[in-house]
Amino acid sequence: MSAENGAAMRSTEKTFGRYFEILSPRDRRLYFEELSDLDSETEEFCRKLYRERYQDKKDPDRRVDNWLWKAVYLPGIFRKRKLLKRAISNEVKGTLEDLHLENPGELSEMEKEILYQEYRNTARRYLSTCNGVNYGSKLLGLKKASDAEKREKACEDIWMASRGFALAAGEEERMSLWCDAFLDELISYYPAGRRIIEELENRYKK
Amino acid sequence: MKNLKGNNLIKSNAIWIVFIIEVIIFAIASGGTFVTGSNIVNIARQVSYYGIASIGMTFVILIAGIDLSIGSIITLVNVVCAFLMVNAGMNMWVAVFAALIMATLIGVLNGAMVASIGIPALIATFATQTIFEGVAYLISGGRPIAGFDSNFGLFGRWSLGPIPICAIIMILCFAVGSFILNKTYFGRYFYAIGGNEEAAELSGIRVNRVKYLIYALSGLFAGLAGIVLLSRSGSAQSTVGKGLEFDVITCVVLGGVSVNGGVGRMSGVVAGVLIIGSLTNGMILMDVSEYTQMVVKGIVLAIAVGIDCLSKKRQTV
Repeated sequence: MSAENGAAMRSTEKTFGRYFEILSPRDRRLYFEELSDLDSETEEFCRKLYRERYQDKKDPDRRVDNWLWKAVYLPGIFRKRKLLKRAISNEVKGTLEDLHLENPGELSEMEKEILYQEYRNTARRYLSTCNGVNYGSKLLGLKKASDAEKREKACEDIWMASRGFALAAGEEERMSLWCDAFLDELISYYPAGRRIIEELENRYKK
Repeated sequence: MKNLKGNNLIKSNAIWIVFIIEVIIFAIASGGTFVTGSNIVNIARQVSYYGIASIGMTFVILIAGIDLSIGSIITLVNVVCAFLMVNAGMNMWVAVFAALIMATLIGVLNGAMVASIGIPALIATFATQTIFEGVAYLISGGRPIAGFDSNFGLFGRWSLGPIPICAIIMILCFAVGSFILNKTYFGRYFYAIGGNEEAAELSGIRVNRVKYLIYALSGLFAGLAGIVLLSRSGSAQSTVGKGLEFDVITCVVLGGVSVNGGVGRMSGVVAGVLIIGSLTNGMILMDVSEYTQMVVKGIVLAIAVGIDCLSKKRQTV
């Protein structure tokens, strides 16, 4: 890592700590506008990611989270991987493009770090929905899930949206930043999730 | 390694293996009558209407919902379509179109109660089931309506070569259902809402609109099933759809669509429909009483739901 990039990363860690913790897109934007000590390259990259993540290309007034959507539907694609081999390859292409992971080797350290934090923010936003009353409910929503069941389902979802999808697509290397961010966020949310992740990984390899 | 691959192959095709075993058992037990060409055509006719209805139910169960009103939609479509053709002298196609619109609107009403008011799907659709069963009785006065245009047999009695047209309609509906699920954004939305509704909403999906659409589609497919059934039977009865929703739910759950939402495939539902159709036909051939058939189907539904719950439990250990 060059000295310049190392300094940028440390600055990113300090300045952006809070920015990457906030979940609401609106609050994030307001907080970002208040930040004053950003270098222009970092600022531009962050703005670009913000637009890509939260802006609907067809309807700019609509509130979306395009990356959260990845976390929501990639498990579905993973489940249908045997049925939809062609769809998987199209999906992989689109996902890598949307997440800036087509050529991860070409990313600067600053870009990698910001992407990693933004991915973690996505995973955190997903996990924030996993405590809802209806999450993981069973039998047509009649039986509500216990806290333990919710955490286990969250682990499965996060694994399928990251490692599971990457394994099914054969893109472990290019998607490693996305996978690491998702699994790191999961472990910090639920430390015992590591065991479940290992089980899922072993089951998949069998 | 070969063993593992074999196990996976068996697991992913278990439903089709069950179907083949069922066919073999009935073929032996009926002395070969079960697998004659005429009986296979008969099965195709029998499964067509609840096959069509099961497509809408698949969508609904995928979002962890349920539509108990399917049976009464089928009944009401029977009665209304017959009433419009016979009593109001309406053109066959106009009557069919009007009945399908009505079925779709009932679906929209279900969607409104579930999505906008927030009534649990089980209660909302149970209420509409009761309402529209009553409406069907009020329209028909409890009497059968018959005497349709002979061309109306197109949907349920006519054949294209050896293949019944109702079976062709069912196949086309399954193709459309499969296309919606696998190739469109809406299909993704169904899985996403079933998997994590709150996250789906945050990511920009208009969850309520999708729920309206799903219940409307469920109504539309039930309506189409009602038209096929009316054409096949040749007269509208106000009890014709009673209990049909349970056959439809059994087909869908047996086909691997999880009652927890978010998991399932249309190909599995096709197998579920064939299993229930063959089971019903086989039991009729073997002269099993209607009440015993109800017991057997109930047991099959309980087993299918039980397997779904147990497999989920084992997965999350």
